[in-house]
Amino acid sequence: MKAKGLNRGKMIMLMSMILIAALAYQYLFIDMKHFDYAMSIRTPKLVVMLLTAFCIGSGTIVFQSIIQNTIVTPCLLGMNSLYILIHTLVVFVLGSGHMLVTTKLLSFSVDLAIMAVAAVLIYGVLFQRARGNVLYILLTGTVLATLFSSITSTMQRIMDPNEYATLQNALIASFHKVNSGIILFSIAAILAVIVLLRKELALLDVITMGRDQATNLGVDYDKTVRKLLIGVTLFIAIATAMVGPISFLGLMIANLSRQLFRTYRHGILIWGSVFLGMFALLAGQALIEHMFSFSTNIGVFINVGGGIYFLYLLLSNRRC
Amino acid sequence: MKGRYITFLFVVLLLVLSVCSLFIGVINLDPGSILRGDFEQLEILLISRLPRLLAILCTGFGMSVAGLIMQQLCMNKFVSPSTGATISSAQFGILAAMLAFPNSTLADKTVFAFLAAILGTCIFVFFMQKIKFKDVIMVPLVGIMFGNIIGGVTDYLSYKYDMVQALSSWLVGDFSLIIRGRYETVFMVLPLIILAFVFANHFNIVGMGEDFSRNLGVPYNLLLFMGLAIAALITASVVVTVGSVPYLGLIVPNIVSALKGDRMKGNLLDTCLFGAIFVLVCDMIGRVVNYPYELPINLTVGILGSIIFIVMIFGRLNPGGRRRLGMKHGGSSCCQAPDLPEAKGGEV
Repeated sequence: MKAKGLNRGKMIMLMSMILIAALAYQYLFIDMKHFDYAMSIRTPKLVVMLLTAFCIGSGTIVFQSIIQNTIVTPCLLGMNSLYILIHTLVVFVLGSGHMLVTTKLLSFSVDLAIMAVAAVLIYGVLFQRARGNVLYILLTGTVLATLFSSITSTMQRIMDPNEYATLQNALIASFHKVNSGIILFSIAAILAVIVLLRKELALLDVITMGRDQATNLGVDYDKTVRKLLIGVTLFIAIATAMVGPISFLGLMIANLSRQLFRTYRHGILIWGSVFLGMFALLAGQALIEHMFSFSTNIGVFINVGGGIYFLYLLLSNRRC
Repeated sequence: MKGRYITFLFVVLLLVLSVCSLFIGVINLDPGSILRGDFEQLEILLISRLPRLLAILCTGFGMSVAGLIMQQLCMNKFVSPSTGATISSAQFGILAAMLAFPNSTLADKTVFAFLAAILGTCIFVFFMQKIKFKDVIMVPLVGIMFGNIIGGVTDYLSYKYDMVQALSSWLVGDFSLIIRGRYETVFMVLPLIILAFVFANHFNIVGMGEDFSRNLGVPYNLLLFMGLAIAALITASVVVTVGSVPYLGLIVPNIVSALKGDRMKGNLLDTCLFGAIFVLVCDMIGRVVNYPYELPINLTVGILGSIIFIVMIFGRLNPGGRRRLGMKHGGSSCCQAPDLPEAKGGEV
């Protein structure tokens, strides 16, 4: 089992890289006089990055396996535009001083609840109408995303500029806006999803073989895929509600994980993708905070890097 | 000739709706006093109402033709300026013009938008041709992701340089600011549409593939580039004057080809007319619903278009029944004979 040992070695290397990045992020350039204060700011951000990487990394791998295509990202599910629509709507209707905007935990739960309901409605109900053809569902998702964003841009246009300035903060991905209540809440939500989907997650390797093979092996393909799809959407919703629109990250880390580990076992792929995501976020954020002194935003790196990597994938695979 | 009948119907409908559109508005216009030469009424008509109508017509003509050209060239019913990264590239171009020359004129922005749009579209089509797609639907999905990347960069730059609200007038399609003197760029659409009429058959041939068009003596690369350039230039001039209008290039050609079949030359006129009717109706709805205020065209087309598009997608899934209204384009994106001139009569 040479390959297995090799993969384990890679995994250990990845973990130690994460550890180094985390230490660098947490303890570099710290002013010893204000150690406690610095920790109180840096620790929640560290946890949020780990959680985000977990949600997006695992969600993307599962999503790609369901679609059987390694070039899609769950940002096609339209959760980003729904998130932006919810926030715009709240600020537009209730004003930026309202409880729903200022109380972070409340706004987080509202985000999550609406996105969860939408996910179940859109991806649960449509799935049956579409007779299990996932691509049609994706197309519907993108259509809805366009619909959401045309409503959003209309509202943003007639919005008071001061309100708009408040809104803008919520719409750019960042790790600054999270407190410990939200962290606990999202950990609970993530665990709940995993527990509910434990059977389906175990079937992932079989699902990858395609509908006919999976059905042959006794798997209720449609039901499993539907549940997994809702699970992925919830994961993306959690990540988006925590940090804002960021899910392009998934494309990079999922594909890097597939390249690095060269296996079809989801047990390894998912963790690989999660760890790569953790490393990318930690290292990126450490660079931004300690080297560029906050002059830029991690969303840019993700967008530009993800974009270039996406084009590279298209050209190197030549099929999708 | 049922095809002729449809064209005739479209022309009549368009004329009636155009006249209606002239007389919808906060200030009441009265045909009698215009004919008598009431100066004030004439002024309203010439400064505000007529330019608006012309802009609507040009947008409807232009965007649907741009969509039709792109669909024919790529031989895929889901490609259009909004799913092929053309609109988002044009917006990026406008932002680039605003950043590079802070006091840039509309002409500068048009040039930038055009260059960016053509570059983005060509990159997209280049990638599309290099890749084997397992399913037709992957093409628009890849296009949308590509558009998302460009849009992400635009968002970030506009956020960083505090241009978000300034840029939003080009992100949201809206006819309410169209008055004489600031919409004339949109007329650039008209010669381009004529060009599209002239080369319609050539685009059809190019859509059938490189070898096929070489065989028929059609310079493939030149015409492919020309078609994309026409589509990009139309899109850029509409985005610069009106703003982006989603779906138009996607839905209109599909509905028309469901009615009339797939031959580009025969469909071009109907696509133009139907596109203009669609925009006119959406604009009138937007003006009437919230009277005396109005909803931007972006919103009305967005909502109506989404509904129609979803019906189309699911219509395609259910065999028989509503299938005609969907895309009759099953299977791979390159193997279908695009031109069935005689088959179209019986379909309607």
